[in-house]
Amino acid sequence: MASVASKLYSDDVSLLVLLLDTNPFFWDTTSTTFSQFLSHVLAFLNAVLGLNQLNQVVVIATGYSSCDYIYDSSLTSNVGSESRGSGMPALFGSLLEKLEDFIGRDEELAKEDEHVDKIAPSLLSGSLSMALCYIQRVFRSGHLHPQPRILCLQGSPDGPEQYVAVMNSIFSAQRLMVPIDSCYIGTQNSAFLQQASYITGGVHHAPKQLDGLFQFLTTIFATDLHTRRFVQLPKPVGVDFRASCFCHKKTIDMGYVCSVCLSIFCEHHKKCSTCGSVFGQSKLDGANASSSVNDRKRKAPDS
Amino acid sequence: MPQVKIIAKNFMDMVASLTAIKLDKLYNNVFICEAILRSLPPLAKKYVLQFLFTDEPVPAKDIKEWVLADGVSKHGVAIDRLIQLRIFTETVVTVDRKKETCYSLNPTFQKNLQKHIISGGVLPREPMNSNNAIKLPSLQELETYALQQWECFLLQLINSGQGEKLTGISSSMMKVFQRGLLSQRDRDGPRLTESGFQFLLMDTNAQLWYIIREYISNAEERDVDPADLISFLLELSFHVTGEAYNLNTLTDVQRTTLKDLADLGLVKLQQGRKDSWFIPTKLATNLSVSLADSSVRKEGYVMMETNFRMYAYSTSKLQCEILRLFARIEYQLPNLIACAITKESLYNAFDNGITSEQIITFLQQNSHPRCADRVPSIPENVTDQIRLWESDLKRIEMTQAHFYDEFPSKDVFDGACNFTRQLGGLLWEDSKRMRLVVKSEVHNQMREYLHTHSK
Amino acid sequence: MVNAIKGVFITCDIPMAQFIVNMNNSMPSSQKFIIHVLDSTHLFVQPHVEQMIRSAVAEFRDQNSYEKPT
Repeated sequence: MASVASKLYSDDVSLLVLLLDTNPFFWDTTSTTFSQFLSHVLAFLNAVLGLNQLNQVVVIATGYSSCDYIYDSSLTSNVGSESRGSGMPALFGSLLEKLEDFIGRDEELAKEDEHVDKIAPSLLSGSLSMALCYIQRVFRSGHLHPQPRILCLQGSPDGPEQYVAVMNSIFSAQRLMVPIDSCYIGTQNSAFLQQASYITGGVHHAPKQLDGLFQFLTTIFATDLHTRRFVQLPKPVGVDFRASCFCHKKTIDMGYVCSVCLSIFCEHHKKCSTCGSVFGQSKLDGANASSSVNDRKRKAPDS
Repeated sequence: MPQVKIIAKNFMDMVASLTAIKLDKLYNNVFICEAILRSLPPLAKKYVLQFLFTDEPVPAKDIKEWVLADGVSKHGVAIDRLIQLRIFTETVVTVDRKKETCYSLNPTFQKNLQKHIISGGVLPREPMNSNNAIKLPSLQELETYALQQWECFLLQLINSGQGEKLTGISSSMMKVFQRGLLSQRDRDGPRLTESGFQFLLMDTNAQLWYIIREYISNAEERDVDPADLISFLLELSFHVTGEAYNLNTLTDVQRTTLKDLADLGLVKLQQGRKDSWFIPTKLATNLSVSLADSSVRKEGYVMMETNFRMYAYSTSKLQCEILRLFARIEYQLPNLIACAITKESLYNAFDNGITSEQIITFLQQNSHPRCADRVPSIPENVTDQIRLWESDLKRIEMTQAHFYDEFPSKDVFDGACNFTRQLGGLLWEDSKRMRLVVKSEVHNQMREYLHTHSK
Repeated sequence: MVNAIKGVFITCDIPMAQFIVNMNNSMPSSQKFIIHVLDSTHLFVQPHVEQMIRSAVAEFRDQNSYEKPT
């Protein structure tokens, strides 16, 4: 990793990849409207860009069934004058335009699915992978690059069916040494985000109310990686490490694990669906049960 | 002697040393607030952001709780800087009958920064509409132009008298820049001083700031308000590279300044049929980048071999000149300079007041990426030899001194020894034969001492 | 009574001290400049010879350095 480090700009130049939750099913249920939320976020992005001229911000929208890049500060530094006529902030005219576009398209796609009884999860795995791809490209682009980090602004609940994809992204981020910060603004707890921040060394925070979101964002998430070494940041209180089973995508506390590939199942199978190992069911079951009982008996006198 | 690393920071010190009224006036300009924010140490930036929407003064001890134990010294530096720049004001508030120091943000600064962050970056002035009458240079051309102009300027700076006049900088201006970098020796014309050599070893941005700093400190002699100049320069760094801006939008002072800046390669001036306009180059827009402590690292180009040969992948004439300061240039290919470090070339450098450590650091900082990954990046036998050759020059140390002997008694001798030792003037003593050598500076005091004590 | 002499105090390594001593010996007696040989690495010489010694040492050094045969 030494070669990566030597290519970095000094200290506090950062590349922030922001994953913005635009899931319409979630924003229907909140007291804060999406536009209020967005104004906080835009101010935050402005602040990050203002801190250092070399700072770079990339925004990826996480929709219900798709995700897309909607803003990249390295591309839009030369915005023409046309978007500024409307009194819109120069930098973010294109962001809002693209965001609107994206939400429209996402809605189209969402209509095709029908089963909306509870708040549907948004496509976190997709946007995480896109963020990592972007960062990977930056790493490979040669000479100098800023220190990357990912910030998930997520409100929708976890989608257990994305468990494997999300975990894979988290481990990739860990390998790349890219911290994933997460700010969870929904009502439940997000086990995905807690784990993501815990594993990659990022910060997880779930503000109680959204009124002062800007203050939360700047206080906690605008802190660059260099400064983090010597300031107080929220510590994880307890991380929800529960996994989803591979067969029904349910979040489970206890389950069966394939002894060969470590796949997780909520019920007993004859054969592992991931690696194809055959579990010799009845015999093993009996043997296991008896041996464990024996073990306990044998151990008892010792202890 | 200017320290290389703090050149850019020195500029902010200059801003900080402005009078309170001028500083407050500066903060009326949004761009200056922004540039100042960028120049702060990371921790100070964080504090400013946190204070941005707080109207009440915050107790000092609360802020201190934000940092971990490791960061206390950084915390001190950050707070000092903020107060120095009058971004934080210190007030003493009585809470529960206890006096507490509180900090609050400078209101003008706060208001401007809030506006900037909420409404996004606005450009300082409208670029001219690009119609067909104006043919703008491409970014590539502009960058080449800027670098060329800058190198031209540097070459002129170090060659001074010799060489044709390349830039339009007046010779009096040039003298100002050369002050401190070149020493005027009557025998063989101007020569680079030690700080001059260090100057050449700095990266472009730091050099630029050094020159700009000289330019500003000279401003009063030209009847220009330094504060105006600072604000214009900082504002300039927020223009968009490669766009054309009309000269009509500037004041007279700014226009004259701009002419000088064009000679440095910061802007390109163009003349149309009716108007004239300027195009900021990368050098100008990068100005505020390098303000922070952390300067950007440049890619190296030097490869050093164990046989004292050095290959520099560079096309620049300037870099060739720099290498010539301590190495013998053997031949030049279009993109490669082959040179050798020899005893003679190094003695030449040492003669000019350049130290072996400076040369070694230069080689280390500029080593080619392929070499930089290796440890050590410069072969050890080369660095050792450079140091040895330098120490070979310093084999003899001579001091003007006085020699004393024939002391009447051991007591007087010991007393004299202690006396001169306290003055820091004792060079050598021989207690057996009661002889000692002291520096000439303390001879008179010594005489008085002996006069009173030997009787 | 204490006796004081003005001069130049030289600190150097042993070979260099020997070189200077040898230089002194080769001079005619009217031009000898060493006042005292204090010890193996310290000398005390007349005040005006500083430049002369330096140039002699530089010459000695030049003679000792390798030159590529042309």
